[in-house]
Amino acid sequence: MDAQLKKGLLEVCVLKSIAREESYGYKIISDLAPFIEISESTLYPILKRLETAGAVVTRNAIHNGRLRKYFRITEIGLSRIRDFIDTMEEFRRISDYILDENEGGDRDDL
Amino acid sequence: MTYKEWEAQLEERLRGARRNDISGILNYYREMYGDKHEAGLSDEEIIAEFGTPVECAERIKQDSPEIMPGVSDRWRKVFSWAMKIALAVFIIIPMLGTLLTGIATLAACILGGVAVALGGVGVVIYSVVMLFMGSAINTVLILFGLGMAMAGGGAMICIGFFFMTRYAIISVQKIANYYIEEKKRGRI
Repeated sequence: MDAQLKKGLLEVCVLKSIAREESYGYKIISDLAPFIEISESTLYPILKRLETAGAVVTRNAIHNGRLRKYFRITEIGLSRIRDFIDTMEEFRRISDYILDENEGGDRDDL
Repeated sequence: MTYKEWEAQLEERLRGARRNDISGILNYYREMYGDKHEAGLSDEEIIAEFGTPVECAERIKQDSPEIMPGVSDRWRKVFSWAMKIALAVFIIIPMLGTLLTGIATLAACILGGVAVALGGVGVVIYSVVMLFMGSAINTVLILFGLGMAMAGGGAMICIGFFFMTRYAIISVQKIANYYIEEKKRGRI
């Protein structure tokens, strides 16, 4: 997958993972692992950007005697997901046009 | 390699970043390490999943350039500060000096007006004294008139320059307040 495209997708995937329920770093990676490859060093800047943008808020809590940072999505984060869905709808319409075998020859010719 | 050694190497690779950012990154990895350890992974497995400290640091720097300002960013900041100092020294300070000199001049004119008015009052009093001392009425009247003119003129100068100075100070204050407000709103 194109690196820039993946970068954009990852942010929304992280937001979606947090939208379901308040989450933390390890859980986010575990939730996303079946769908998209994401490493710890990739996740950190994403979470930082989202926090700076106000898309998520954080709180620290003690878990088994150690500190854990929890992330919760905000209205800004939800709005970003909605915008992404709208973009994907548009993308799907365009890709349907490109992939339509009845328009301009067979798929094999592409 | 133990996790502590791995973390120490990561911290070394992050040198140059802000202290807060380094703490944030280390706390993040500590948390990840704790969760993976809880899930049953060994130190070696966890470190293998993290990647080498060099790889981690490079990936973080790549995706968050603000964490690790490059050499060019540092020079940009140095240049920005040099410009601010030059602006202050060659433009702002002379402008402030000119402004203060102008206000001081206006204030001096007020004092001049006061001096003229007081002088006029003095001449009026002198003319009255001359009258009682039997001086020629013409002389007394001339002196009296001169004194009154000086007093009136001085008062007018005083009042005129007082209001000019007041408006000058208020204008400077309004400009300064406007600049501060716009700076707070991020428009400047």
